[in-house]
Amino acid sequence: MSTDPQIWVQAICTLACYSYLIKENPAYRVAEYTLVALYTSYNITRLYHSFIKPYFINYCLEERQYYFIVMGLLGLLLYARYAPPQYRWLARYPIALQVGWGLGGSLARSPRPVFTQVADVMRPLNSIDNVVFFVCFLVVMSYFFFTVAKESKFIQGSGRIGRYIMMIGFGTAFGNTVQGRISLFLNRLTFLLTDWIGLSV
Amino acid sequence: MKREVPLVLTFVMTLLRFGFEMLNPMLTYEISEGVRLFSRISFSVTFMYCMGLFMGLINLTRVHGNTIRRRREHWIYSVWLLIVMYGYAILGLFFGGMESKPFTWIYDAVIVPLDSTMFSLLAFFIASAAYRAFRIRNVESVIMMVVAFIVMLGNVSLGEVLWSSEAFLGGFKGLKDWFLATPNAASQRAIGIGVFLGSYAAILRVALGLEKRYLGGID
Repeated sequence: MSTDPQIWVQAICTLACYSYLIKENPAYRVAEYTLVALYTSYNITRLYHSFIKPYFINYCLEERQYYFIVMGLLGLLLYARYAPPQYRWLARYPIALQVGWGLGGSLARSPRPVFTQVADVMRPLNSIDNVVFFVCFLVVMSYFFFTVAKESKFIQGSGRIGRYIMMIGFGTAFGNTVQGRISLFLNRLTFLLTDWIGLSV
Repeated sequence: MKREVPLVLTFVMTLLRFGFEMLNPMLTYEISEGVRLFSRISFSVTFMYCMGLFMGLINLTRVHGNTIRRRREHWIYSVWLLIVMYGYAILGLFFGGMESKPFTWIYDAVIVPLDSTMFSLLAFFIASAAYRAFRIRNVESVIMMVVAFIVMLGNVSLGEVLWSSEAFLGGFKGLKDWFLATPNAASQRAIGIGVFLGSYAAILRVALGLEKRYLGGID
């Protein structure tokens, strides 16, 4: 059995979480609340030490770029949401600036990966796999053609096959997700058995 | 002033960023030797929204403070949450930062195992939820469960034992690879294009001021 206090804390945390499998209990609740609290504080610390402190020192103090102070003050307006109701609208200014900046980036950048994918769909139809791929793509697309009347038997049929093809996609995603979670579970189990208890697996 | 100015600001910032991304002379424009205007604006916007770092702390304090004040059920856990949250934040902000030994010790001892164990718990719930949600009721659920089963068997050595990759069709592994590369990739592409068209329309609606909910209902 391990004598390292950190391993013991890790093991207690792991067991507290798994105790939920029996039923909801105080140990699980403590673990849950602790994780929320620590993650919040961790992110505050990370943002402060990775952005606020270095940006303030580098740009405001050393390079004398004083508009950073203006932007910082604008950022503080976010807290106007907690002010009396007549001042709460002030929080919209930093949100508008941030949202606008992000939208511009998405507007310019988001089509590129999609165009790459569309270009990849246009494969030469020189193998069975490529033909199947292209047909699958078309039938799934046809499922999303809501502007076309659904009375046609052809549209109805291709839409139904499109749904089946999508189910194959969801099935692979589901299988991979379940396996990812199981591998995490095995990782924790290995930790408990080897690092904590000291068994050789 | 309260609603119109933020909408105009959003539009102007969208155009500005779009211009930076699309026009090379704008992107490479330097305000001084080696200092690009784009990176400075980008850093200052990041600096601005990072100033909201205490929002999560304030919100949690308000929610759990109310629970404690009104002595709601499980209020004692809220006390624990506030103590841990403020304690760890003070440790990280004022006593050595993220590289300090106590800070990293707690991160490795508590956050890492709790985080991965919480996710691994989903292995149990995802299986029971899948049983309830996708009980074989129609063709779609049969296809989904069979494919999921094949993908899982294709990833583990049991699948290799049951149907070797050197056998007909490449065994479970070959079938899994084909599912991933052909019907799965095709359906993901088609869904991706649909998602892109929808999200692009939503982006344009926000940029043009037709969608205003992101500003909240505060007046």
